[in-house]
Amino acid sequence: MSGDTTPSGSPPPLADQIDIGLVQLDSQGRVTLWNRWMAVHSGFAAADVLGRSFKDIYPAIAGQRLGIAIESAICHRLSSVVSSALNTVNLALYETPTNRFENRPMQVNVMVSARRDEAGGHGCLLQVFDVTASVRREALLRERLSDLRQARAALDHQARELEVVNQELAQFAYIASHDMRQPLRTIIGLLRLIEKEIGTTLTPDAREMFDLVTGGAKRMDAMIVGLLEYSRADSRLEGGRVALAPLVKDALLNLDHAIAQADARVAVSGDEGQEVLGDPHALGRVLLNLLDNAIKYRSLDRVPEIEIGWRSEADGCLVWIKDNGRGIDAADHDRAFLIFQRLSPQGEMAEGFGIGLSVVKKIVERLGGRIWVVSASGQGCTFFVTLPQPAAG
Amino acid sequence: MADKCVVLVVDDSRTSRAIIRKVLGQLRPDWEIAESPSGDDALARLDEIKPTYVTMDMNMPGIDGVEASRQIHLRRPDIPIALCTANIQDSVKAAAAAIGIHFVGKPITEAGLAQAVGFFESQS
Amino acid sequence: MIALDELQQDALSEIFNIGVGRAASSLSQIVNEVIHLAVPAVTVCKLNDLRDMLVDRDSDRVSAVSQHFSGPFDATAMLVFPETHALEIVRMMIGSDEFSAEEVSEYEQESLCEIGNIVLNACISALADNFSSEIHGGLPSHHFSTPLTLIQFGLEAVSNDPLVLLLKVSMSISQHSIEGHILFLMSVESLSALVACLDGYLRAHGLS
Repeated sequence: MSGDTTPSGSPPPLADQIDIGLVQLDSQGRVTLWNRWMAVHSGFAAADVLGRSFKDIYPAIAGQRLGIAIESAICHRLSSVVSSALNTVNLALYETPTNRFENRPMQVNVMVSARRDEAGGHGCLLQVFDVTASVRREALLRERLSDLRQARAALDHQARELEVVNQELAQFAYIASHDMRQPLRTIIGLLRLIEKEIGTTLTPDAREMFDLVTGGAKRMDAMIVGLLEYSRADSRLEGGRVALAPLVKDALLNLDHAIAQADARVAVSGDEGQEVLGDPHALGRVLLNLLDNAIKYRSLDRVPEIEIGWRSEADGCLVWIKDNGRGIDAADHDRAFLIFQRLSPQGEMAEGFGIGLSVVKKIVERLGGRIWVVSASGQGCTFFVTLPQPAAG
Repeated sequence: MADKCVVLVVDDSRTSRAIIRKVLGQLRPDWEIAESPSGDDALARLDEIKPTYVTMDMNMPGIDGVEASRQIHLRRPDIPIALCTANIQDSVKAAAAAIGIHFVGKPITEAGLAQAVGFFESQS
Repeated sequence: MIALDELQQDALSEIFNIGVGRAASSLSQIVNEVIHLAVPAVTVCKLNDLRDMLVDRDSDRVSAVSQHFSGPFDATAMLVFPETHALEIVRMMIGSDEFSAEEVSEYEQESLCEIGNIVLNACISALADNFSSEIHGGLPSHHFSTPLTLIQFGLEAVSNDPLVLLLKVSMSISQHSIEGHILFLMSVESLSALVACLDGYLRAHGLS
């Protein structure tokens, strides 16, 4: 079309250089301009359509929005847009011949402008835009969005259910332990009174049994307290920046008596300005418990030496508590963190601050950190804890 | 016919009533024209006016034209009614057909009203 | 400032109601739903008075389709709905899912543009037919905007302290209805010309 009529050397007309379909109609609705885009995508060469009535070329548009819009422009001089969103504009335009063969027409928007034709009558100009790609893209986006929303709704639902379960568990643990401690207190109290009454008259065997009973009752009470603390360990944790050094000092102050009694030597090393993210009370309990363990599980044949230090690493603040005590056998490393596991042999009283490593682990993980131990039997323990820290800068 | 023919024109627009009155006056000069600005008013004054025929606008404040027509028919099933509206979508046509009233497109033209008159007279 | 008397208001109201009634028919044919459109009131006001009229309580944002018309009078016409309401309507018409205002697609904007185009063209052709005049209408464009921006746009489009022929419009689709406005921004000269045409129409029908 354009190639045939353009003299060699000069560029094709502007209408043939653009990527929009352009059709001009005169006051009788006949085609006076049919650009290259239209020729290529309609399959009609300009020579075949010039001078013909647009409605004869596309009889399907009669009574449809496009037909009405063209009439509106020619008879009433009003311009219109005909969008693929509200209409099916079937001008049988195809992106490629394959699409034509497979009957997949383009989706188009058409802008119909009322304008005067060359003869001065009222004609119109049609601009045809291919919107197939954007329609497809939008459909895809909507699908994705819909999927995402469904997934989120499911997650929200799960989260709510979990919340309910957690609350129920917490309630259960609280009530159970609370109610269970009552009879125990009675037992422990009465045992004390009995001891006062008849303690001096007990035979060695009876004495041993009496002590076992008392010890058992006290240990049971401690276990219930531990259970209670475990169930509460992750409620109401507040976040925020906390300076580490003062927390460590506090914990050591709390253990002052125990340190003195054990004649332990404690070394502290770490940057005074180090901060971590988390609840200060929870962090305090973690430190207190680990330090207490370091003192409690000392080796009886040497001076206890405890080292607590920290340094900032790429993935958080690394804290270590190292002791030269009894150590934990490699096989027991994982067991150590399970609830109610006691490393000392049966029969030893549970002294200390009532929570075990299981709770410590729970708290640390709840704060977003990790805890692990490096140790061997008879060779002391080093507990490592990573804690989240404020971003640098 | 002993009684004079009375057409009640119901429309909230004074202009519209005036146009209908004028065109009807040209088609049937001997008919008497009464006017009402709303469906509610038309119903209230139905016994007072005693219309022979009714033209009814569709969109009015208060009850719409279809509902007003329905209520008139309940009391006076003998009165032919023509519904005038620019909104000629199928649902409106169907609603009108369901209660047996004639359809007149707006803007009011002589041809349109002539058809309505034909309808009125065919029902007597 | 030009004020319309009761008869003029009534006549314009009737003309525009016929116009939007036809628009409702066209729209309902496109989407196969029951659609009603009505113009309950017509007034003239100043451009600056519009600021509070165009929005609802919840948000400042509006959907506006604008078209320019020229003939015996020149006007920039706009169909304005509060943004959320416009989206409700368009979503009912093209049956798309419940996405928020931020997720409005091109698709929906094109639909709004076409809907506005149909309504505005219908209004103007009702005027043109009744005034026996020829009015030329340009292509529409759609924007999400605020009343302030529209006012500025109006001031740029129509110089010299424009007046606004303000129509309240109510649209309902399947029992769901929204309220909006149609504005014709005109110079004093244009509005006078329109009123002159209107008076001619009234005289022709023996009404004044």
